[in-house]
Amino acid sequence: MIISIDHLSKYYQIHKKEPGFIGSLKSLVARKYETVKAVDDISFSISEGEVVGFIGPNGAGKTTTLKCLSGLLYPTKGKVEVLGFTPFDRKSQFLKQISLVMGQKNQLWWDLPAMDTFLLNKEIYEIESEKFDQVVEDLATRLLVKDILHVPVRKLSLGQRMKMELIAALIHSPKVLFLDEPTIGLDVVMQRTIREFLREYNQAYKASIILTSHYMGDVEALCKRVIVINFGKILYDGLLSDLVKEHAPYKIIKVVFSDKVENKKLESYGETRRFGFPEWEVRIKQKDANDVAARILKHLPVEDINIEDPEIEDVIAGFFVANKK
Amino acid sequence: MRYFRIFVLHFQQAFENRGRSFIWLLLAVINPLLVLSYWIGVYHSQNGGIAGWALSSVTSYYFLLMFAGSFLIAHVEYDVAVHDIQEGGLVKYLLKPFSYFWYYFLGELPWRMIQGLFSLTILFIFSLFLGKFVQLVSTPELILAAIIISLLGFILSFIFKMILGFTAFWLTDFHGVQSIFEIIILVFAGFVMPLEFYPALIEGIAKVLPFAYMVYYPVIALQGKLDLVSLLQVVGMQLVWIFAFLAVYKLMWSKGVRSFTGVGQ
Amino acid sequence: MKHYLRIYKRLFILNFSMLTAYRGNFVNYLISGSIWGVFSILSMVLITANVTEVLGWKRHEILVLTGVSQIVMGIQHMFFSSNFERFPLYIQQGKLDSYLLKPVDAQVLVSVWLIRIISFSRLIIAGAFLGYLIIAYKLPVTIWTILGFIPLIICSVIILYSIWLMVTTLTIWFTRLSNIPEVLYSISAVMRFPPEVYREVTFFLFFFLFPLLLIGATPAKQLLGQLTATSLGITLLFAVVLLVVSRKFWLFALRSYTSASS
Repeated sequence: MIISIDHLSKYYQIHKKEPGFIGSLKSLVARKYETVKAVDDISFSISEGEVVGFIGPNGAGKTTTLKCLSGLLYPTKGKVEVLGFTPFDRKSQFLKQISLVMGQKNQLWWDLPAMDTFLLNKEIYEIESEKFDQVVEDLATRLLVKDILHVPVRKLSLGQRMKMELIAALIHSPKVLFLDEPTIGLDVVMQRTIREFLREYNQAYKASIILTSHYMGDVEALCKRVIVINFGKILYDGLLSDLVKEHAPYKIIKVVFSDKVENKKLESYGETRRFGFPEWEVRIKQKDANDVAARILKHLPVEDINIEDPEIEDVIAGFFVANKK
Repeated sequence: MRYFRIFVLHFQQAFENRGRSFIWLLLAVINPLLVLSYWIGVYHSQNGGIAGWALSSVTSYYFLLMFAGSFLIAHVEYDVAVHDIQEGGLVKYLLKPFSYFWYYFLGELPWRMIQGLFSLTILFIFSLFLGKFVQLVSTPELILAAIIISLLGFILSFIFKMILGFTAFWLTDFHGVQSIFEIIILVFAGFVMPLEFYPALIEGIAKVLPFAYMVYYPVIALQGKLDLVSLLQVVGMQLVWIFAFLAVYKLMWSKGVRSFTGVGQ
Repeated sequence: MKHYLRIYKRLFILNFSMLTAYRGNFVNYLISGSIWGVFSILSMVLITANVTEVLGWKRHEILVLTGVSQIVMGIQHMFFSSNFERFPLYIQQGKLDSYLLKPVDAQVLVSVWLIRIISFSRLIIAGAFLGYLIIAYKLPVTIWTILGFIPLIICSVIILYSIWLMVTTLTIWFTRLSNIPEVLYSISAVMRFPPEVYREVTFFLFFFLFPLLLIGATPAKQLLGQLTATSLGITLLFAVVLLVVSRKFWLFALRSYTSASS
């Protein structure tokens, strides 16, 4: 096992302040502290070369777990082991083999070409010149940025910058990669490019990847296995395909009407999620989705139609509902 | 009513950030304290004072300088120049139905008051232990005049700082301008040492520029060094400068907004 | 050790590239930096204008002290100031994490990341001023004096760095006090004045400021040929002690940061 987490818990103390002027004065004298359980007794392990999706809504505990895995946070309880090291010791050997990429935070020097940042990382990670050239060549070619390596970062588009950030994070060929919301804020094309790159990288370098996201698309494209987390607890750990089959066996059809339609007519197709003319969202069982869509097109005045996957929040909501039963 | 609410909102914020206020206070206090220690050393080394000032005058000058530094100098120029003009935040003020001037004025007041409060406390503590070093004005009329001069000094510094911020409408390098004026204020408002200690030429220049009327004259008025006639003269000069700056402010504001909105964001 | 030197070399190259990246700003910062450099010296010249001697320090000796403290401050400006100034923002924005993830000591990395090469102008101005004083007042400065002077300057920089580090480390807990670095500039100005001056003020203040008093006075005394073994010993002691204490405090603060950040 490359990564193993054993009964990990991380609690925070935060103080609550009441709003308004009196609240400010009160917080001077008597502070109320509350314990927040960001991560509550989770356990799992990951083997070499695995790509695991870590999914859950905001505040579920994903980022906290990643920070514990990379040594940035000290666990309140439990054991964490990555590549045979205790992350929190932050040993040099350990740090040279991991990489944490957090969506918006960047490490590129803004006014200089990305190459300069790469050269700096080369020295920091003590990479040999030959290996360095090889890795830069390989990654830059894969991401199609070879010709802009010497352009100042501030002149690059957001997508190009993201690619450079990735290269900077991978320059030392880490064995373990932690990605926190890697495609957040990116357009659809960019998202696809990044996903493909990560898939190739995983195959070529055999790196283990843990990826957190609240985009189903990221997870579908890259992960066979997913871990669902919410309120600091693991709700599911297994194959994605099984998760979808069991807990999200439906699709959502989004329709835009070109003409007025009676409510009554819509009831026969499926469960209406939302209807505000001219938009309509209906929930259909997965296996029926295509048929229903065809029927809708045939019988109703449709301007635009889309078949979508349920959002993660819905899957998890469905998860809770299922668990309650 | 809405102006009062602006004031309260800023007061809450200033209170929340009382730690920062304390640090700003330390800033205003440390430099005078340092230089004061030096002057005490000087007075102990040589007989006869400098420019006819007794040691107690010098010490009370610097003590009052701490108060003046934290209360009388507004710090609005950075927000105006960088956040509003350079970064475009000015837009939200242009869309609101109240005066930019008053918004900043009422916003600045709480910060000054809180810092003024801090320094008054420290002043009070100092005067308890080192009473002989603090020389203050005594008669009620003089006290009133001193207070008026201080208020006018604040208003003067506020308008000036707003104007300084407005230079960002036309200059790309606000940083350089700000540095230059920081130094000019330090030298000519009396932060380095009492203007009377300067060589005659520099003292002359200082009396002509407006900066002395922001800090120096309020301080020596509070010390009781000015008689009624001089006080009236000072107030007169302050009013002249205030009106002059207001005129410049109006001019720069109208021209500046035109160029700002012309360029677009 | 070599590892760190190689990293620093690369950092220097990057900072130098930054300098030349914006030509407009280059001139601006050069001018405003030089103005401040000149002003720092000028204000002392003005303050001492009608004074011949203060508590055993003649006027020209005080001016030497000014020049020396400008050199120490200039070095601090060049190599460390920018990093201390940004530190509170790092904490607020969680950027400290990216330094903690690197296989290099975080304190070193954070301290040396940015180099304000343009502050070199302040060193030149201070050096020229000292040169002028040495010649004008015929001070007995030999090659040996300079050789003794340099390690003392290094000690002074170590003391100043350690104090700044300890105070800036506080922002790990007090994240809102991002204006702390400004206070450090003011407090550091203490070194401009002869230490004897502060004996006049209360003992408490004196004790707190003591290490800062030394960093200007000790190298200055070296140039003036007045250095005593005692001052030398005390300065060295402070340099070592403060370096160790500030390091321990930093590590303590990091432990707190890594338990509490979210």
